[in-house]
Amino acid sequence: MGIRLLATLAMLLVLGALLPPQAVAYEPSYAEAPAVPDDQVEYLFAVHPLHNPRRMYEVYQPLVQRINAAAGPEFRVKLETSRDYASFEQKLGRRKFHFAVPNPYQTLDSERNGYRIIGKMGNDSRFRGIIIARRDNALASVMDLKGAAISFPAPTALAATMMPRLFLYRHGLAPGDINARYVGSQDSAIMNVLLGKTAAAGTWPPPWEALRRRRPEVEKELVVKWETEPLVNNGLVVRSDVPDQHVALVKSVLLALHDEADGRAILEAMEIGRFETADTATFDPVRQFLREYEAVFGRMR
Amino acid sequence: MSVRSSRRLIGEAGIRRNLVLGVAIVHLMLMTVFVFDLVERQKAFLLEELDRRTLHHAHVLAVSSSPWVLSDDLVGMEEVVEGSARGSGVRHAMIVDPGGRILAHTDRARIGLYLADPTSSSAITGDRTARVYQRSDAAIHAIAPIAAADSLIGWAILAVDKSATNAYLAYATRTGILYTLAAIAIGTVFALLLSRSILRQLRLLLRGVDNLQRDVLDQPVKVVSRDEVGRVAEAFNRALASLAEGRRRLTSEIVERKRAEDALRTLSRRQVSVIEDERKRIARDLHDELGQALSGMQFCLTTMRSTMQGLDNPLDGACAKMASEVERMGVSIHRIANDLRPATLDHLGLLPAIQAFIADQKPLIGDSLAISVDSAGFNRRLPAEVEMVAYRIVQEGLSNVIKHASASSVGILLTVNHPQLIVTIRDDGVGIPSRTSGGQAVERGIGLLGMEERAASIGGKVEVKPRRGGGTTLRAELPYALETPHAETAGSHS
Repeated sequence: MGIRLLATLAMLLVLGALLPPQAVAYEPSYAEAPAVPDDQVEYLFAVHPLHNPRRMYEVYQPLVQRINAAAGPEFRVKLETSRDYASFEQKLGRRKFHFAVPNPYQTLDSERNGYRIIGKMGNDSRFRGIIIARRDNALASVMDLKGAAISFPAPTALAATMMPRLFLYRHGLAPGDINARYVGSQDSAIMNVLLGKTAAAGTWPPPWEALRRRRPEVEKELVVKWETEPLVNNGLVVRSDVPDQHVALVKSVLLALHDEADGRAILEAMEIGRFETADTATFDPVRQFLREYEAVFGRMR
Repeated sequence: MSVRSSRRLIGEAGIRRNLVLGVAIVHLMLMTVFVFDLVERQKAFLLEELDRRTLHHAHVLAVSSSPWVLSDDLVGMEEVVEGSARGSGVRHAMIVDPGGRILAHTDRARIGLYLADPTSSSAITGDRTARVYQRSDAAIHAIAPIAAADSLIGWAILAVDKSATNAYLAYATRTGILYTLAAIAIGTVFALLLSRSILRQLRLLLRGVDNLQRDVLDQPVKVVSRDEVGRVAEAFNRALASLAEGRRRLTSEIVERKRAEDALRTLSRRQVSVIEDERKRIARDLHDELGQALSGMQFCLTTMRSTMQGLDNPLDGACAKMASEVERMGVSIHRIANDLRPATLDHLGLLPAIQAFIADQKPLIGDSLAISVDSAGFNRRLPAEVEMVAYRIVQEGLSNVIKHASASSVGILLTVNHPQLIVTIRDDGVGIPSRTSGGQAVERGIGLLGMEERAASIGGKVEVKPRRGGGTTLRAELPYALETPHAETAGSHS
């Protein structure tokens, strides 16, 4: 009797242990169209790569959200960043963006691709190039950079590359006297100097000041050695096929930012005081600069 | 119960089977629980580890793809997705926008499509946290939000294959089953060896019991173990030795007693024989000596009277009276001699002697007691000693009936039931009194004792018991095929 009970228990135990668990099969399925159709008009809003994409998103997404709040159901704006100047310019050349904030050079270039200038960033005095070097690098004059490697974001970065390079030229360094290294972004150019990979870096005030706020320790290592003269700030362009009422709504939101506290907070993150109305004539000084620059360094296109 | 059946029941069918089955089942249960628990623990650990790895992988994919998503760089996203799919058993990886549109996928044909299944739709509309949103048999599905500035810009979705984990678990399970089988086999072998050692001693014990049943007491059980069973075997051997010793003593006592009984019987037989011989001699002497003397006296007296006839001698009357007395004395002597040793018994046999005895009693009892003799089939002579004992028993028994039973009838039955003569005396009298009821009972008891002694002298026995309905039955069983030389001699007489 005992053996039989034990055998029955053992059989139940073994059967219980051998019973397979409940099978669960799953593979995602796909469809050509979304389950809920999205009919809302979407505009792409882009800013030339002043920072890395994540930083760009942090800075400019609040602006986009403010525009979307104003636009309501009529349309929405989506921020799209670019990893470097080349990709930004490529997308701008392909008319991918509906609204864009290119640098002054790209602003003028976009006009050839069907964009029109409707505004610009204010505070032109801040739109200047700066040359940063390590504090332990005893640079007495621009000529000390002769033969040195200097990091720049991109060849078409007006404030960070073109204006510093013309500044160096004007102070005695011919185009071939330096080893220009284009490293993709403002932050990258500065980090190259910090790590000693280059002797100096060309950039402009907003990214430098943003970096100082994020990493105060860099100020112990780096210092702004030279500043260029200011020029017209970054432009605000719109693709020609965007309806006027939508253009007007976006423009009105941007021009009114400095009138409200939260708008000013957005502008402060962008290192500017306001957006201003502008047109193609506003950028004539830039055209003058470009002629001089191309005379020295050759045509950009 | 046969030896084989008891061995099968107690040995092979009982202890061994129970021990082997019990050990095997206990091993099976314990190892099953152990292996099941181990495999489940490993499974839980591995799946948790796989969950964690998949989640980490999805999170890394989300973080690494965020710049490309922000830039809407499909090529960049594709590179990131393909990079994440290298190794680690990734079944598929994808980056989708918040609306479920696939921006990058390890299967490029999926790019541009929309997630359509409820599980995926639920996952991308759920909390903005990295999580495992589905565990299927084949894969772990994890999702991680791609976020920037607190805004959701997409999802990284990853499915990691479980086949390696499943294969390892299957391997662990197989190994566990092998261990279980090995444990059962080892346990069974151990149980077999254990049962063998136990059963060996038990078999030897059973053999000892069989020997005991066959009355073999001089073969002790071999003690091969020092455990409890071995101690039982030792105790059995002690009991066996004690039994053998007791039996030896008993046998010796029986032999002695038998020898004493034989001697007693021989003595009794001799005593009876001596008595009978003496009676026979006295009877002969009475017959030969006194009888002859009395016959001589009778002849003289007759002669004297014949001489004195006609002389009117006054001594004639005295002679006549003396002759009458001598004749009476001759009759008495004849009767006494016949009582001492009936000549009929020696010359004609038991039945005529009994009938003569009855005839002699008739004048004494008259018609108050009817005596019958049934001797159908009894027509042979038996050894003289047996006939004498039988005659004396009938004589004593019948005398008792006449004197004490107050019976109206008595029947004597002689039967030969080889090798015994059965003498039965049945009466319808008052029955036998208890042995303590007075002098009459004592007398009858003495008479019965004498009958028993006579019967015992030839190896027989006498039994007296009351009859149902009244009366007494005396039954004597007297062996006539005696083995003693005396009996053979007696037999040869007849």
